[in-house]
Amino acid sequence: MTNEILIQLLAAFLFTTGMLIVLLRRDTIMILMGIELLLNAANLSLVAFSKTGHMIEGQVQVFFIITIAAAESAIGLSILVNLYRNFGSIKTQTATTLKG
Amino acid sequence: MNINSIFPLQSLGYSEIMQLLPLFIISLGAVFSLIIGTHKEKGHSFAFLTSFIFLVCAIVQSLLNMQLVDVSILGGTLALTQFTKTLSIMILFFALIAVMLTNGQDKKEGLLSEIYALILFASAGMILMVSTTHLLFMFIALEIMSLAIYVMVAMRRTSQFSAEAGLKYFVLGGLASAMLLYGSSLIFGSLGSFELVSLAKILSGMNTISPIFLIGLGLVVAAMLFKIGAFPFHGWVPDVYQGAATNVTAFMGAAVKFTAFLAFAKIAQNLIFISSIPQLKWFQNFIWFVAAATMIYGNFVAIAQTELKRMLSFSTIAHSGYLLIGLYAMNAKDGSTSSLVLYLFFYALANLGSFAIISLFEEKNQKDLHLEQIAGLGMKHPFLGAMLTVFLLSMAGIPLTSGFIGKYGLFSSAVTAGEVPLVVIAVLTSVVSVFYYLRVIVYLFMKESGKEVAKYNPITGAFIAAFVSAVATLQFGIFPKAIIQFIKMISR
Repeated sequence: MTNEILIQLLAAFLFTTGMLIVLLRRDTIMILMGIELLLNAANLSLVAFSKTGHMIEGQVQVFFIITIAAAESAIGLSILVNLYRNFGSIKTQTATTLKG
Repeated sequence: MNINSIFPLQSLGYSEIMQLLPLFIISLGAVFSLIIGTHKEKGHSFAFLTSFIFLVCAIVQSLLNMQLVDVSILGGTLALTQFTKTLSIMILFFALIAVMLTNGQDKKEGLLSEIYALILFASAGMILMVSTTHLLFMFIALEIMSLAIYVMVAMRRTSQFSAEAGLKYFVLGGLASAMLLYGSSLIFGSLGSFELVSLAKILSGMNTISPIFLIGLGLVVAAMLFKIGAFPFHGWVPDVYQGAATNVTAFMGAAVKFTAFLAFAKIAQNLIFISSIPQLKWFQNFIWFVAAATMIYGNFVAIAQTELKRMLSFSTIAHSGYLLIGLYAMNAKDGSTSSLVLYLFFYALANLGSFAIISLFEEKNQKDLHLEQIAGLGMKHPFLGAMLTVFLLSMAGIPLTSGFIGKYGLFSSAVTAGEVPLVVIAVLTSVVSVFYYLRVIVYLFMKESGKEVAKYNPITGAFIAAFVSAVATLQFGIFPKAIIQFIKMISR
């Protein structure tokens, strides 16, 4: 197997791991880390694809995505702090006031 | 080494700069209202005034820009045509109504003055999103919009509902945007472009397609269906609509849905509705199934709801189903884009107005308005009751309101495209929807008010927002000819 395919497989593996973390873990910090993992998996795959295809487009885009990931984690952490203030815990199973 | 050889920047001409000006204006307005909102006593009113003035300037500038010729910037990444310019005027108009609606609510609900800046940032993201045809640019625009909306949803800081809604929206929204990103990366890997138009050209010359592209397209479609709140991905809609402050819900229900749907229509038109590749038929059938399921699910669950905001959130899911019919009809017929835009615009007006009326009757940190609480309110406040009636009738699609024009256009374009079974499902489920809309009107006018009747909080901003939406709903319902012809002309 060539390196390109291996890197793509690694990206797919990271993406699946991140998705499983977001869907299965009950801890909000872990969920935030899962979202970061998802974005980084996409970054890895973009870089690898643009190296394979000899196009600069994907690599440039990665810088934008890193910036957005930083902004997203900042907002995620502040939402988390807000959750802790209101519920006294950051586990997702405590926040169950909205149902129907 | 010369800097121009590393970054070959195009110089923008007069026409390009003029057409980008509305975006600059609202971004600047957002920054100004962030700064001026820190004033100790008058921060809220200053931030409101700044954002209002800048939005009006942006709308005026966009209206002036309608005469300029179409341009595309950054090699076609940002296409500013008559069509996208009209869409951005609509988005700015929704933002203006949302700003009006927030004025007065902000103090009552304990929202910070930054909410005005966030509305402007979000609408800048929306304008970029409807104007672009580049998948990654679309991701960035989506994030500019969503990051502002996450904060707005969680902004009632002392309310448990709001904290929970913010968390749910953030986690699921983050997942959806990551899916959009990874999906576009896979599409890029298999076809070598991010540009939707050139992707469509590449695709129409092919007979078979790699599975990588299909996985990527699946991820992109899932992310877009999440953003519009269609059936298998609808779980967040009721909770977020209920937990957010009512003015934020109004803005979300109108503008976010408008933007996400038009972006999805663009993706579907260029990547899914291509007849030469047999595998893409799966996606078309999937959209058919999702449209039917969304209509049935949304309408039947809305019947069981006794709380007003929650009921409207399920009706929003049902409306996504109707809109998906219009999207599916684009497969066979090009002209149905105009009916999609019209329906979205009219629905957004009714949505903004009805949430504006709800916000007038809500207490601080209240979760929702129960049906029992609005019993008899129509007799006490006949004008407000009449306006809420107009909005609900418009959502149900009764003649003389704009909702009827929207629904008629959407269904007739679907029938001419040959999608009769879907239209039959749509008509039957919208008969079901009339039941729960009329129930609210019955409670408003024909029931005696009980013990726990909601108190009217006179807020001028929300009242004006509701009034403007009501006038527009009736105006476009009774004299629809001009706007229909205009939208048809520009969407060609």
